[in-house]
Amino acid sequence: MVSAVVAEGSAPFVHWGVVQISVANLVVIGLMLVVFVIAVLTPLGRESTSVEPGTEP
Amino acid sequence: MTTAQGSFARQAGGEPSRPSWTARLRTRISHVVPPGQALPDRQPAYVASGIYVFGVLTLAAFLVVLLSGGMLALGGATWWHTSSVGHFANSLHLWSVELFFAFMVIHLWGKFFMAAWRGKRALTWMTGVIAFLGSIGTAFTGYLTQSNFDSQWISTQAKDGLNSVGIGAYFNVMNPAQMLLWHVVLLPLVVGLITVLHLVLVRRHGVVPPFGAED
Repeated sequence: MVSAVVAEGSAPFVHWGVVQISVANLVVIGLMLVVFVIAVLTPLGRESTSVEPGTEP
Repeated sequence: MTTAQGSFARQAGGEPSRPSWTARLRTRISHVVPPGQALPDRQPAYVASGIYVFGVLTLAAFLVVLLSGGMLALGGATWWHTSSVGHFANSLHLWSVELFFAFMVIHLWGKFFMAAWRGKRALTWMTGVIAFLGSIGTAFTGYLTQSNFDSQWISTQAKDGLNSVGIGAYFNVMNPAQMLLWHVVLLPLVVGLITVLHLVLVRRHGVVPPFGAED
C-alpha cells in the first residue's frame, strides 16, 4: 500500500509567482467558497421562527 | 450571615453584613447573560440565513473531534494503526478535524464581512481569533502525534523553524511525549475554555445586526 502511494509520485501543484499550492488544497478552498456563497444566499427558517429586530422577548 | 437570596442580613448589633462569596458568585453568574438568553429559542429576523449555522456546525465538529480523540486515547497507537475499528476512529478524528476547520473558516468569512466586532463585540471577535490560532496549534501537534513516518518527517521539518525563533529548547517537536501531552491536554484545554468564553460572549451581546439595523 505504501509503495503504491510512493510510486504515484508528487501531487500536482499550481505555481503562481511565489504562491505554490496543491491542486487538492485548491479544490477544497474552491468548494469552501461555493459553500460560503450558498450559505449567504440560502434563507433558513424564515417563515416559522423569524422575529423582527428589537421585538424579541 | 446572609439570606438565601444573598441580600444583606442584620447582625446582632444591627450592622448589615456583606453577602457571602457564594451569594456574590451566584449573583454574578446570573448576570453573565441577559435573562432568557443563555439558551434562546427565538432570534431576530436577520438570523434567518444559512451563514449563521456555521458557528454551531464548528461546535458540533469540535465535539466529534473530542469524542474520537478520547477513543484514540483509550486504544493507543498500536490499536489505531492495526485494527479496523482503530482505523475507523483514526479516520473519524481526522475528518472531523477537517470539517471543524472548514466550518470555522466559513464562519470566520461570514463574521468578517459582517464586521461582527461592532457593538462592543471586540472581545467576542478576539476570543474567536485565539480559538482559531489555538486550534491550528492543536492540529499541528496532532500531526506530530500520529506515530508514523509522516509525523517523523513533519517534526524534522518543523524543528528548524521553531529553532530559528529560539523556542525549540522549550517546545521540542522531536519529543513525541511532549507533543502528545500538548495535543491531548494543554491545547485542547485552552481551545475548550476559549470556546466556552466565546459562546458566553455571543449569548451576552447577541448576534451582530446587519449594517443599518443597529439600535
